[in-house]
Amino acid sequence: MKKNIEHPQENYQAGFHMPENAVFKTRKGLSEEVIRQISAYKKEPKWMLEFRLKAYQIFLKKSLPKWGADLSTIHFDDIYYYLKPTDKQKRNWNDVPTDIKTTFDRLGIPQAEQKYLAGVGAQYESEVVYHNLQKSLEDKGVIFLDTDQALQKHPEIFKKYFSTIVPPGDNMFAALNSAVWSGGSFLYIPKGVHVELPLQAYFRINAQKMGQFERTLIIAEEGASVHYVEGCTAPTYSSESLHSAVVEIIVKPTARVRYTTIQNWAKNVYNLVTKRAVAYENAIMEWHDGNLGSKITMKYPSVYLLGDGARAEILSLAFAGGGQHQDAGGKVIHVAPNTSSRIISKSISKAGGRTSYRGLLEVQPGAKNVKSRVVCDALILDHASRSDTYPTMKIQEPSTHIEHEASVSKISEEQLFYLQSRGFTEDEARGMIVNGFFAPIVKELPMEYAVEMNRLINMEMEGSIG
Amino acid sequence: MEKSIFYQPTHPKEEIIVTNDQTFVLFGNDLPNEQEIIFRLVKRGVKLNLLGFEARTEGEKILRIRLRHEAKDTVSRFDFRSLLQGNAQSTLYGMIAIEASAPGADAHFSHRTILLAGKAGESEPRVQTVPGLEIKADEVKAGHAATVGTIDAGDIYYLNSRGIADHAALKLLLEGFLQEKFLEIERNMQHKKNMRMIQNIIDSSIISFSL
Repeated sequence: MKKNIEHPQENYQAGFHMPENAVFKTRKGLSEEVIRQISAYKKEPKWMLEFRLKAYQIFLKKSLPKWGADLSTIHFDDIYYYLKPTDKQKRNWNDVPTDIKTTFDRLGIPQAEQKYLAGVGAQYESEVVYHNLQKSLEDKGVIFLDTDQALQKHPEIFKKYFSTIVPPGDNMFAALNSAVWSGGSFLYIPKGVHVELPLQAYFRINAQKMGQFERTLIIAEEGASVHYVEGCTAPTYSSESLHSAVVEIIVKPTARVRYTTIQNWAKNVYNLVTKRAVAYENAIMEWHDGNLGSKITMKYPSVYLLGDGARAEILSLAFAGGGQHQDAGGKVIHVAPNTSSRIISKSISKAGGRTSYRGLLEVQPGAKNVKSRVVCDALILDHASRSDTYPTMKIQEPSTHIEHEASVSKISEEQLFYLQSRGFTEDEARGMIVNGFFAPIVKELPMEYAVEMNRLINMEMEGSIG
Repeated sequence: MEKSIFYQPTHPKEEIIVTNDQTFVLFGNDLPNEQEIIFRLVKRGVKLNLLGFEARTEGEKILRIRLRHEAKDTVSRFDFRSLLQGNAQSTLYGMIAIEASAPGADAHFSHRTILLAGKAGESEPRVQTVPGLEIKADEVKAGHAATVGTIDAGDIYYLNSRGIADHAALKLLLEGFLQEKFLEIERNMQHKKNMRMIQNIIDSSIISFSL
């Protein structure tokens, strides 16, 4: 990767403008000037600009990881690093690819929502509903805003937690995100507050919905609980090819956070995400991760169990079709005693796709009485596809109970035969078996997602060979 | 014809081509601090049985094993048991690679570790297990398993309640753990010599184990 990123010679925009209602877009490529433009346009405090610039210097020194998926085809200087939200909605319904429209129909998504997902509609119609939801949250003291707005409106809380879990030096893409982040969710739940309804990015009004470099920060105070849902099963069309988000979560004693992601990016997208949470005494952190789309995904949600009795659960689902590589998994680091964790990973590769599970289970000295179970199951549907598992267990404390198992196989002929003998076609039988395979994870999703997921899987299984 | 072999590598990085059914036994204590062995199953239908164990109270060892299935219907089983106490540290890489030329392969790797705590203030043993699967064929069965645990007061108590004293109880449990797969091997002179060595290690670990 080039260390000195140069300005391409474009006549597109000479210098930057700050007019009230005009289109704003930085030049292609990354440089200190671009970062200053971004920060100035957002009217950020000085400390954030300095943070971004320092992160950029770190990014220049980092190199691509020598493991994982093949990232050599990312062209860092061929990307726009900032795009004002309203620009994205200039898409025409006629320009949306046919196969995406067909998928929307098959998944049973309402017409208005289809336009919204394709970036065509100005805003989803039910604004009134959102305003009411926002009010009920505010009454409880919950802060749920776009990360940009949170920086402006709640600077003290923001500065206290921002980048404390994922520092810019963590890895190359965390450094990149730290330099050019924009959008994402900021969620703060005060002590003892339970948010019953799963919160979604939809509910942030007037915000960039699916940004390239989102930065999400969630803080659950003592005894609080929340379920946050990101993404959707419908294919997410994107002209930008690099998506590199960072999610930081702090779960304080006896609090509970569940973070569900369903990602179905179009097949031109590189999805490289750093997700990390810390859990304190008797807290519970759950990552539910569904990876269906993108050309390459590299994502390993992790939990550091820092307090006695804390618990982590990571459920990871991955589906790779032709031309896709899902390199996902999870990491749990047991620092405190009496902590427990469970990782369940289910993946399917077909038509030349590749799924890789990559995980770490670490028990540090002094973390007595830890119990952990890791289960990775993979189905590989034809001889063109590939499945890998790369787990690491690093145990430095004797009084532990660790179990790990993994298996790779294809769909059992007997099971197929049994279902066909009951009158199902081969495709229907495969769909049922695959849905059953994923069931332990899908049943944890909010209902609408689970229903869409099942339909999506049935679609994917149609006409599959082998 | 299966033939049992107690295998002592002569070079820190070795490649073994397997063309007929074989059993190998690796004794971790006798291996160098860093050892790598690649087993290539190149003949159709061949079966490889690989057993290994170690019982150590000191030393840091790294063992890298790769089982490469290159022909159809090949079968591999790799079972390794680690018993560690004191400053002993162990790292085991067990990669199962099934190439596209090996449909019908059946492979399994299992690593079981018992870490025995020392007295308070003494150093603790450590283990790092890195199993792996790289599967490029579809008609396969491949899996791996790893467990790490300890022997705690509850396990000893069960045997106490059957009239077996603490030291004898611990010895039974540790012997059983190490010997389980080992007893399947054909007996020979070398085998007896190593059995005595293991017996000695187990005996001394009983003294240092405190509940």
